[in-house]
Amino acid sequence: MKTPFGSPDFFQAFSDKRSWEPGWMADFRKDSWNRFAALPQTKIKDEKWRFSPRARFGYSNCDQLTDSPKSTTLEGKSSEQVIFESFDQAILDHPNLLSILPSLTGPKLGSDATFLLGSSFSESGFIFKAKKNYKEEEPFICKHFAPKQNHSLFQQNIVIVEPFAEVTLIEYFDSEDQSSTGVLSNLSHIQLGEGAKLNRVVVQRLNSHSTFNHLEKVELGRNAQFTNVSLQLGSAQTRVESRGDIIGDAGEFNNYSLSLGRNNQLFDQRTIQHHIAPHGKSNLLFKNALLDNSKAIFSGLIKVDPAAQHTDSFQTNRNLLLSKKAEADSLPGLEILANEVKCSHGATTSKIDEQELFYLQSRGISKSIAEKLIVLGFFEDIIGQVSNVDLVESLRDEVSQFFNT
Amino acid sequence: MSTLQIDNLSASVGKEQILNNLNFTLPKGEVHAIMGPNGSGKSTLSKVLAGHPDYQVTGGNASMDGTELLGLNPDEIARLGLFLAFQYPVEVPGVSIANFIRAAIKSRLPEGENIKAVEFYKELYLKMDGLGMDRSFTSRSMNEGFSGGEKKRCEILQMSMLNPKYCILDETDSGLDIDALRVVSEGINQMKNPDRGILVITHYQRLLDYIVPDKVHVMWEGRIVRSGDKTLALELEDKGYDWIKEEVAAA
Repeated sequence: MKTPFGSPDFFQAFSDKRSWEPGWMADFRKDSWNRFAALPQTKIKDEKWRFSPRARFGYSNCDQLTDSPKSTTLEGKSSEQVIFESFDQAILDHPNLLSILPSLTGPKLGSDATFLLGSSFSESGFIFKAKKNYKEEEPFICKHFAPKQNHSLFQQNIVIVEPFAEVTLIEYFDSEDQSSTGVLSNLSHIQLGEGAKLNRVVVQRLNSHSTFNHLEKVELGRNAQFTNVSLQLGSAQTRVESRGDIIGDAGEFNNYSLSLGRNNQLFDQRTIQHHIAPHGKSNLLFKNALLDNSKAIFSGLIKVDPAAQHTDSFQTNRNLLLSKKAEADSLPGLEILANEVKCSHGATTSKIDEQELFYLQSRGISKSIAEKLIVLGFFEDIIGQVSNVDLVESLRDEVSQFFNT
Repeated sequence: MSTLQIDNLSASVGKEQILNNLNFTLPKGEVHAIMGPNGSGKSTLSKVLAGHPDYQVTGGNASMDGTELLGLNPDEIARLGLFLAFQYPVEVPGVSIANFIRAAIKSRLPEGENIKAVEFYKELYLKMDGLGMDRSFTSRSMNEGFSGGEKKRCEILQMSMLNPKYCILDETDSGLDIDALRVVSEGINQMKNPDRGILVITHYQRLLDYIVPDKVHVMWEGRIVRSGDKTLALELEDKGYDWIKEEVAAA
């Protein structure tokens, strides 16, 4: 990857700016940057980028770091039982929490360069930790902002849910303004202890010029339960890399995502459900509705290790094409090394059903409203996964508003 | 002017000519039945009037209270006041009955005007009770996993909520057991009124035991070949359709 981010002078200038940081953090950045600089040239044929117009995810148009990132805002009940702080604040307040950074590996689904750049240059994001047995129904909310004026911003999130804690986290991703280009690269490291439960909702509404790299790795301990619902609505291009590792017995990983594309929007989605321990469950459903020239790629893998007996794992990708020029590529995959498992995967791509459209129109509903209703209906089993009724209603509104703009 | 008026209508699907110079008039306040054997063009007539894009009109006119229907989009025709109850209602995954009907009603309101939710649900529940539909149905996806009877009740529910000027019921009796047939017919009979014309399309006479028509028309080879009062339906039930075919062939 050709970018000034790889130049020693650039890194030195960044380090000077961050001279207030403790030595361990500077060492971590330096080490990450060295690994970035040593990355081999991008391969022309790379299975992890199959079907992807990879150049769209480069940093060449946004080769400066934002000088004044709009800070990530955090909202939630403060409690002795919770740590919820910006990344920068946590460097000073919670060095122990951040000391795990060098051991984190990311999803490893193709964006090694972005992962290492994020480790080198992260300036925002948040740290969330729910202590053992803490339970809160009220969601914790984080608002992230993509930079403007052809700048890039790297973020790190660390989410730790200790044993038997149960929490909900909502992350909004917006652009600082509606007109300028920016790249937002967000790395999330999520760890759930025994019996912990995390419900997470992601709402991405970047402006139509921006690039979003969303990399996450989720690690589940024994009996832990993670449920994610993502709404990918904005950006010019979004690359999602999501890894769920079921490390403890009977962990449960649920990953639901919807994308609504128009114009030339691109959604490039790479996922893995990795069963390492036995009796785990995982369920993945990614749905993409595509208008105009928009495009979606889904590549997902269910991997079941030899020790992960009695795994139940499902993976489904459904694409709804609302235009002749829209495109969906789907690469579902299975790699099963245990013999007592229940696994299935499937992918479908279909056009909007003409009979369905006629039926709605025959009731007086205009074609454009009929399409909107059909798309909302198509997404209902994603949004319906959210248990909070008010939140479900607001997520429906998010999708609905997309059609009004 | 207060009629659904069809003059010399011809239509085809693909290369196949299905309607041939069909003439038919349905005045407001009346209930008419069109009967005919399979393949005579009954369903095609209903689809053409509703504006289905798969059918090409090759000649003639169709108007509702003086307004030409041919060439309009299906949603425009519906908003003018024509309602088609489908022979095979379509499943709309993820769209609840309540949201579907709300969207249909909203499409008839002036821009910016909204439905009053309390009144809407009051009316909806009242009508569902009348059709013997459980109120929990409102949140179910339109027609998804419904039995034949449930689908047809849901068609009648939509029809009564949308208050159309003319109703076409395409083989509404098909797939219904006798109890469902009675409930659905009752729902249709309640729609009878001096300002509304109702056209019942059916293959069998039994529906007409419940919905008594003012006129019965027989369709064959894409046109109306005979019209009469309700006794014509009984005659058809008795003798079958073959004598009509023979008569047409002889003429």
